Amino acid sequence: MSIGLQVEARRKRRAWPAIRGWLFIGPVVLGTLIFNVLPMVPTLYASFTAWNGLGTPQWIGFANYQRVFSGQDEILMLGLKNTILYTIGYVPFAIGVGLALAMLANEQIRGIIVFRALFFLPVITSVVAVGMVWRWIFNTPFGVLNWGLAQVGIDGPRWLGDPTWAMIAVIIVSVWQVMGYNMVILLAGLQGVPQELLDAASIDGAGRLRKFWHVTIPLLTPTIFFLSIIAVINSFQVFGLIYVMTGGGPGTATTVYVYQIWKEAFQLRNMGYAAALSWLLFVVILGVTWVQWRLAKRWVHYQ
Amino acid sequence: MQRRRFLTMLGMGTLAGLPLLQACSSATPASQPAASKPAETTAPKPTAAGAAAAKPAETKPAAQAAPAKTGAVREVSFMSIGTEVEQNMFKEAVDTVQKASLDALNIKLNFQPGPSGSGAWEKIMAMFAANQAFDVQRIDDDRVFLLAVENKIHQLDDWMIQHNMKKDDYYPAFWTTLAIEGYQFSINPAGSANVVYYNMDLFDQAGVKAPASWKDAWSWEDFLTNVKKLSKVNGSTTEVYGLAFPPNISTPTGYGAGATAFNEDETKSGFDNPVVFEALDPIIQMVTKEKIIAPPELDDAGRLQLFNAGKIAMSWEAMGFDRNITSGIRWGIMPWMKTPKFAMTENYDRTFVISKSAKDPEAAFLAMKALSEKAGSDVFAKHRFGLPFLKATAEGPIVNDESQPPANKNIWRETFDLVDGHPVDVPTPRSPVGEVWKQSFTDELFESALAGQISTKDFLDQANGRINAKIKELSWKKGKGLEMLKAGGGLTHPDKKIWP
Repeated sequence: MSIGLQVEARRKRRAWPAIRGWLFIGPVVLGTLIFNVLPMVPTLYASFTAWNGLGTPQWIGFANYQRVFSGQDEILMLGLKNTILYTIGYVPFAIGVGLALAMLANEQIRGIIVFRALFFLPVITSVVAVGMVWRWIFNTPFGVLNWGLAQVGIDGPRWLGDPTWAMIAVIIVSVWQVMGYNMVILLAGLQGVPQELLDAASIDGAGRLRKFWHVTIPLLTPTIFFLSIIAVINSFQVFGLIYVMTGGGPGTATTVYVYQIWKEAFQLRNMGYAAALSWLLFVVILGVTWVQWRLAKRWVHYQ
Repeated sequence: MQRRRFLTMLGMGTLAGLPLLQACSSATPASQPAASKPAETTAPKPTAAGAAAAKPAETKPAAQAAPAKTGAVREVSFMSIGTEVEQNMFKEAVDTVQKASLDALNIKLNFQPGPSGSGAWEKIMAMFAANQAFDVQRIDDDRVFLLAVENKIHQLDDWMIQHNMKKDDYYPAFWTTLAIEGYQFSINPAGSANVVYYNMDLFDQAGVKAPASWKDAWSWEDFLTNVKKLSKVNGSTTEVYGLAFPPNISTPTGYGAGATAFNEDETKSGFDNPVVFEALDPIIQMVTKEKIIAPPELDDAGRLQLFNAGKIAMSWEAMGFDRNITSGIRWGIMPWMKTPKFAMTENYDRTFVISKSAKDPEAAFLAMKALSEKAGSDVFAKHRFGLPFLKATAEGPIVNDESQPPANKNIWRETFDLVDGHPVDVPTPRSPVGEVWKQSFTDELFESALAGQISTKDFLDQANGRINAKIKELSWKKGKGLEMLKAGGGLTHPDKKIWP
């Protein structure tokens, strides 16, 4: 074989992994570009217009953004407050409960596969079905939850009717729905903790709690970091469950930011204003994620 | 492979893939002959209907209303969202009117069921935005004004006059409820005829007698007393709620108290009136403090379930609620009470329009007209879809079958009537400020009040504030709707009005 042919063959061999990689991610990249990135362009244009979704958009410059920053949109401010409340309630519990379940699922006990599968079921269940079922569980006073509480002498609250409890109810369901996913991711992380490190800690006299705190948790921080990024993004974008379970109510108690975007766009038909709100949400999520990445340097340990 | 060659291939693949994706996204349903769709692709196979169409149209009486066509069958697509039961009903209605009149007119009506549930009405608006609505499209009635102003639907008056729609065949509400500045842009064959469904056993136990007509509706004082009598409260638990309702009860209650939506020149909210507070506050107190009216978080299915469990004595509902009442419950219907002046109710009016993308709008009109005539109306009445506005059906045997419950079926029909000179059905203002008015009094603000989050006064202050702000924003006044309609180009026959 001539040198020229050998070089060509070597070049082909080197190129193949890259091609294979592109082929794998190609459909996803294409889909993301067409269905996620491309629509952002007309949305940006729409955010500078007054548009009811049917007629011709009218250019109004920064008026939509001015309206947002004027603080006069009381429901939007409420939506923002509720989104932050939801995030504060949801993110730590979603990861904490997922971690607790992952620790349980990591035990070598009989039937553990069934246990893992059962906890993963809510993840693959439609959010609408989840919302409908939980509406009935939370029903006041005839729901099964309050019935159970009554059996132990507790007068259950009006879960979805009381402004104080409604957000808590939504957070409970959100955590319940995502805990199986978090469990699986954290379980993979737990199984990647090297046994020799745990053994070394045992030899040094560390108990279960110290091993967990000083060995397992530091080695899990990359996984926890990943989950916290996903959880924060999801919590800023929460919509489906609230749409089905509470419709933003009672009153405005569970009206979150994205619910307000939907209402502005499809009920009040202020498409331009809704587009501006969407872009601001994008910027906020981008900012929060950037801050998370910056802070990660302080607490995430890569082996 | 060289990077350049790979990128070339990727680029070609993308170019090849994009039209495919585009084609997928723009595909129209098989039965929807959209404007861009060639007629021959939708032509039906030879059927009995087609054979009938080939016969001279003048041999059939129905054809007298319109010029009979020979040649190609005129295809019309029709779409409505709805539950499976409703879809079956629409299909039956389409089959019925096809045989009763459309075959003779050489028109083929193709029904396309649409998914119901969350966001379905919004999806229909998206179809209009993309000029992809079906020829005859059932829509949320609150959107008629917007679609008319944006020139997305056809004005109907001219066709109505031309094809001899007889005004007296229908209750006046048929012509007035959905009119935009007096012009017709939609046809709604049936109204919801909202009445109070009551549990007879609970009434007997409490010694309460239900009124038998809107004229005899309970007085405000009787209403307050009877809701209390019918409720069963055990400590902090309510075992039976005296009353339940969806949030849009607020508007008939305000009207019933003597208020109107706006002042005379439509420059101010009319619910900014002490009588509205006096009517709504006791109801709100019965939900929040006394807990004898069902909580607002109960949706339609929730109220039905509790009614079937004997835990709700009265529930304000649309016709069709009874379709799902279990056989163990003895039930009847009665009017909503005088709150405090007039007994009033609110009919839901999901309605049918002809989209501007319809290929043969006149044929679409004739199909829509057929649905609101006797054959179609009878099907809607049979399935308790609503009470048809067509007098022949509303007063006929299907609605008034004495062998079937409930007694006093006249209460349904009377929702289209006048009592003491006042309409039982509250008028819904069809305008941008009308939409805000309705949303402000029935959406989250009213729910906030019912949840005890805000006081009745705050609710009314904020709702009126929103309406007045919208009026100011649009510089709204009486007649502005007509200006908008003319400017949008949707008013094609300004000199034609079938109903004065």
